[in-house]
Formats: sequence, C-alpha cells, structure tokens
Amino acid sequence: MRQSLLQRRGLVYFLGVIGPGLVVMLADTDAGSVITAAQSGAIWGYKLLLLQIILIPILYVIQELTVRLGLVTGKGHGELIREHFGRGWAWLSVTTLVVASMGALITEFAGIGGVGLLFGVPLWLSVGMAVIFLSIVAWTGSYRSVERVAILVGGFELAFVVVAIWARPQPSEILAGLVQIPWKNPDYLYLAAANVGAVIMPWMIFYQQSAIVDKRLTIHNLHAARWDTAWGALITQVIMGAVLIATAATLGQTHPGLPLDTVQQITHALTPFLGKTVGAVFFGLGMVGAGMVAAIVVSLATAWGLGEVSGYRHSLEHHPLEAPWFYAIYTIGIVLGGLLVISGVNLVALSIAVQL
Amino acid sequence: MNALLLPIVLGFLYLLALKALPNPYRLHGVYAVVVGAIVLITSGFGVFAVLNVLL
Repeated sequence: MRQSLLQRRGLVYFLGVIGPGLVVMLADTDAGSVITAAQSGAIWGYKLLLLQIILIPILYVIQELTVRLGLVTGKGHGELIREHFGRGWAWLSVTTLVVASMGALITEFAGIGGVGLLFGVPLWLSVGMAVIFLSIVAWTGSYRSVERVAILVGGFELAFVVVAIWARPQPSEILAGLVQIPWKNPDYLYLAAANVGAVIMPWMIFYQQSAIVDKRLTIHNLHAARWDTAWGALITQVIMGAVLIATAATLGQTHPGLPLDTVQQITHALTPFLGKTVGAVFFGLGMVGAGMVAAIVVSLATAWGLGEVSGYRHSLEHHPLEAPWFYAIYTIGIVLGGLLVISGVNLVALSIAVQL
Repeated sequence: MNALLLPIVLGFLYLLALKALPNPYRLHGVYAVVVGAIVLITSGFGVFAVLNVLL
C-alpha cells in the first residue's frame, strides 16, 4: 500500500517535470522532416532506417546538454552565450536562430496548408486558422497550458504509426534493409546527411533550455528531465521511422522514383496502396500535428532567444502587456510565415533550402 | 540552411557545457571527448550535404 502510494507520488512528480524534452522532440519531426523521411523510404527502402535508430542516442546526448545548462544556471542559451562570449557572439547565434526559425515556420505552414488543399480547404483558410489558433494559445496561456496544448497537437503525429502498420511492412525486408548501407553511393550519403539535418536542429537547443527555465525547473529535477529527453528522443525517432516504413513498404517496392516534395504528392502516391482514410486522412492528421507543434516550438524559441540576448522580458508567465516584445516577436513570426505561404512562393524550393 | 547553422549552434552548446557549468555537471573526461566527436561528426555531415549540392 505504502509502496504503491510512493510509486504514484513518483509518477505525479515525473508528469509534473516532463514537457520541455517531450515537446521539443515532437516538434523535431516537423513537416520538413516528415517529407525527408518519406523520400528516404521511397528511394532507399529500409536502408536509412538504421540511421534513424543511431540518431536516438545522438539526439539525447546533444539535448541533454541543454538540460544541464538550463537546470544548473537557470538561464537560456542566448543569455549564457552573452555572458561567456560577449554580445557579438550572442547576436550571431540568435541570428542563426531567427533565420532557421523563419524557414521552419514556412515549411510548417506549407505542410498544414497542403493538408487543407487535399480536403478542398483553400490555403488562406487553413493557414489563417492555424495562425489564429497559434496566437491565441500563447496570448491566453501560461507556460504549462501552452506545453499541454503542444503535447496534445504533437500527439497527432502518432497517426503516422497507424499509417506504417497499415502499410504491412515485411519484417524480413526490414531486417535485410537495416544492414544494407550503400555508403559509397553519393546520393545515399546526401539523403543520409539530409536526415541528420532533419533530426538535429538549431532551434531545438534554444527551445529546450529556455523552456526548462520558463518552467522553473531546478537541479533537483535533473533525473526526471533526463528521462523526459530520452523518452522524447525515442518517440520522435519512432515517428520518423514510421513515415519511412510507410513509404518503403509501398512506394519503395514499386515507384521508388516518384517526386515526393509536398504533402499532396506524398498522399497521392500513398492513397492507391493504403486507401483514402489511412493514406490521406491519417497521414494528413500526422502532418498537421507535426506542423502545429513545430510552429509553437520554433516561435517560442525565437521569442525567448531574442529576449535572452536583447534583454526584453521573455516569459509565458507574463501577461502580453507586461512582455509586449516577447508576444510581438512570437506573433510576427507566425503571421509572416503564414502570409508567405498564402502568397504562393515556390514552397518546394524553399523547403529544400531550409532543410539543407 | 539548418545544416550550415548547426556548427555554430552545436559549437556554442559544447563550449558552454565545458565552460559554464560547475562540477560535477561540467562536461569532462571521456564523456566530453565522446560528445565532442558527436558534435563534430553531426555538424560535418550537414556541411558536407550542403557542399555536395552547391559544388
């Protein structure tokens, strides 16, 4: 009895700490990463699946550094660079963040808009609704409420696991593909590098450290925060792997050369194999979840990061009137990204440029 | 773009883990070498991909 009470208390404590790692990892498999994973499976079958597994500990090792830095110093990544290397380096670093975030936001909205188009919803409506929703989430919530919404929308990415199972992958083919590594082929190496770029992203480092600070976690939470990061790394790579398996088991067998640069192209290619419900509806749900959680994370990372370097108030715990710059930067990024996508710029070329 | 920014961001992260943390949280010993290798390989891979496309 006493032991079960202790266990329950342990679980409640753990649930209170998890979040920064889980959310950043759900955002890691964003709209662009989903497209990279789909291309990997279609072109190379299961030959890039091992890389997804290898990237789990690598993701953990890198993000765990942000956990230590955030918990021990109580400061964000931008602020620490400013303190230890000076303002110039801090601005350089946060500029890379802004550039990467803007690019990422465009791919997220392109993904969300692409799903809308599949179901006859015009771009301006789907992207416009996403922009409004994302703004309301931040403007009206505290850190914890925003985190809960992020986990909920990111959870839709689990729809990709259903798609992968529905694609009926053959275990023997998966095993065979896992150990075939054509590392001398430059095209293979290029797509492998694109996968690394899709899994390890600059804004993740800024986000997780700032989120730990805004959540007011301390060094006493180190153990649970590490588990949060480890579980997140596993889950995000299961999702990447699921997308790869879904296209490897279907397109990889028959049409490995199909162009798969947009959501529409991928779902059109998958539907003959999986039917409309799984090929379009489930894939679309996963894509919207991926794009939405990444849009929240990328925008928050930017608003926190710029605040850490320039010194304006930067916390979701503040009311928008108390931290106007923080909320303005968050919103401007989202609105600009949404407008660019609605304006109809060449999204494929842009997405590729961002992912590289 | 992401790949070109990785060396900067991962580089700073690694340096901060070496410089900004008190013991026992500071990166040290074998683990510091392992993490350094991971940072180098990961950033190098990204830059390789970009050069591959541009050249």
